[in-house]
Amino acid sequence: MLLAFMGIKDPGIWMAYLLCVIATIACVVYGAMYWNKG
Amino acid sequence: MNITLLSIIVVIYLLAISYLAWRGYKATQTAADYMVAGRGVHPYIMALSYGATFISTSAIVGFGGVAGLFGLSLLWLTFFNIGVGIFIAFIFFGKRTRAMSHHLGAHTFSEFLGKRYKSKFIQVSTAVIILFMVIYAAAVLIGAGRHLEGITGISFKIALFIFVLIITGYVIAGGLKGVMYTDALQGSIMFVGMFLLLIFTLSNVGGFSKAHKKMDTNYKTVLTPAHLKKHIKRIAKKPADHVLMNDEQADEYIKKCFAVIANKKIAGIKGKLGAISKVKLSEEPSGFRKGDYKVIFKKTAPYYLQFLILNGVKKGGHRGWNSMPKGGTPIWWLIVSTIVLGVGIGVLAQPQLSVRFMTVKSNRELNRSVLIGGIFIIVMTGIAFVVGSLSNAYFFEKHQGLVAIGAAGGNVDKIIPAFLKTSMPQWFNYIFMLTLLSAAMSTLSSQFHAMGTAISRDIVEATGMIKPDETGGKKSIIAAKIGVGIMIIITVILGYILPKGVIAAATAIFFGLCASAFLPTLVGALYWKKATRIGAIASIATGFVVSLFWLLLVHAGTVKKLGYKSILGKSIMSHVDPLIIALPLSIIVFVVVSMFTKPVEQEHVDKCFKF
Repeated sequence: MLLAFMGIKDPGIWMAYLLCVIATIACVVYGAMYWNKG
Repeated sequence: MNITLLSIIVVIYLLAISYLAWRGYKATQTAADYMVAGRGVHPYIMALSYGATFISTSAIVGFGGVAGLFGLSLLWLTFFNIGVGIFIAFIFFGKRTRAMSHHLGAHTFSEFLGKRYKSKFIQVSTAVIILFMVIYAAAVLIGAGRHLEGITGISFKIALFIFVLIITGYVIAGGLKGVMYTDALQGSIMFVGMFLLLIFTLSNVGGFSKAHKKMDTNYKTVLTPAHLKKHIKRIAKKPADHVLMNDEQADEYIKKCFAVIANKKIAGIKGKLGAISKVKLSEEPSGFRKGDYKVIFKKTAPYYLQFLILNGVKKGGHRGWNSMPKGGTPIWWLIVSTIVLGVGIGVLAQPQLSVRFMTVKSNRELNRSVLIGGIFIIVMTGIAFVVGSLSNAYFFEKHQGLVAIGAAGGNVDKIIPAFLKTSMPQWFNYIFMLTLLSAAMSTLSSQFHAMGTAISRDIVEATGMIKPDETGGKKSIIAAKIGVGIMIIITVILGYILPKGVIAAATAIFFGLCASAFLPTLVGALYWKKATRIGAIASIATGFVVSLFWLLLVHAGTVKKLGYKSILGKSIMSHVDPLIIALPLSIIVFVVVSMFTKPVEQEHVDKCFKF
């Protein structure tokens, strides 16, 4: 919805935007969860 | 150019770097020093040190410029940079690389593979392949030169020479030692600089939503002959401060220019522009002044360039800056196979990045670095590619119907410098120049370090020219210094002779070559106990030979620049990146040969896999 609002119609592009955000969140969540582990 | 302001900013930067280096020399400085002292490097320092090595002018100027031409489809590379270059690299490669290299006493990428498979041949041959890194180093150097040229206005050749002097001074001062604090400072400057760049860009184009909509309409407009005619007419009627042609004369001039564009006998953009530069009216206009035609051509050339280039890429499958190219077309293969997969996967087998994992104090630091690394990469490449794409909206509005590739004179490497120069305040440009200087310095120093150790430790020492107990002694110091010196000279020569717009292509070539030659062997080393020495040698040879064969004889992008035709002619396969062919073959050869050859001794394998 947000990406459509931003004027991105091509699913290939909004999927790339979305995956960039998801990958970053995955890195942040992993780093936070394992901050004191290992 | 404001020399005073530029000098003040550069002096402050150099003082900060010098202070941190001096502080480093007083206490601990490299990651190894920290480990000897039993102290951890702060995860922020570790992640930014890795990030500053990973991200260079190649990513920001080179690939940012490619995004200016092709648009937001490059965000797939950002996804791979984060998902593969950080998440997979740190979690699935980093921990095992660190543990195994310490068990084996390996200090370089080549030595690691050589000792894992108990083969000096693997160590020496991978080191020789690593020396191809000069292509990538030259791309980083060109990126720095192009940016200096774009911001300060000095010529590219002089800009490159100035940067060579800076990097030589940095190397002589011991910059290759990878002082963690200076790396982290450079990474921090890059981070802040990119963040400011996004804020300034969005305020210039009126926000994401508005810019995306503008990009859609602008793309359709610049492809039309009407748009080109409109601007030729405007310039032809009043090329400078005087009126030259009337409507009728301007129409005649346009007709002659379009006859050149339509003439199929005049090949290539360069040929067409050369012919257009000679177009004249049958009768000189009344207000004619000597040199008027030259002025008209100079001012209209960017419009011809963008018209010809964008119509060319549209024919190749491009569908706009907000869209993916049409599947299976030459442009789709270029973006997906060369740019996204070549660089996105190739990062896993980068020698200068692998050694960063070896110097981490513990697994806990790797876990923590994932968090900071993920944020760092989205800010660096995500912003570079978005800004490159959005620059089209800015140029069209503020530069009378030009878009990025036109404003950059048809050279993708000049898009980001041209955008910064015309859209940003001067003080920001000078600070951002340091951002890129930092990006280039940190990457180049790690590249020269990787090539230097490949020569001194993996070739000279491994072949017995220097005894192992002389490591760090006089002979190996001389070997390393001569090695680094030769590599710097070759890099500089390549910087001067490589063609225009080559940054992204040269980077992708090296990343793809590393993935094809090293990745199966590296994954096998880390995860497959039954991987064999012969399997690894066969895989490295297959990946390397097939990559070079495809690159030099088949790949349309390369053979065209070398001046001959692909052996596959105009087949769509000639647009497929070598990685797509060489990596699967390298994997198959590795697995099949390993299944039928003698495995490495069980005792050695057990030692390697002691996690």
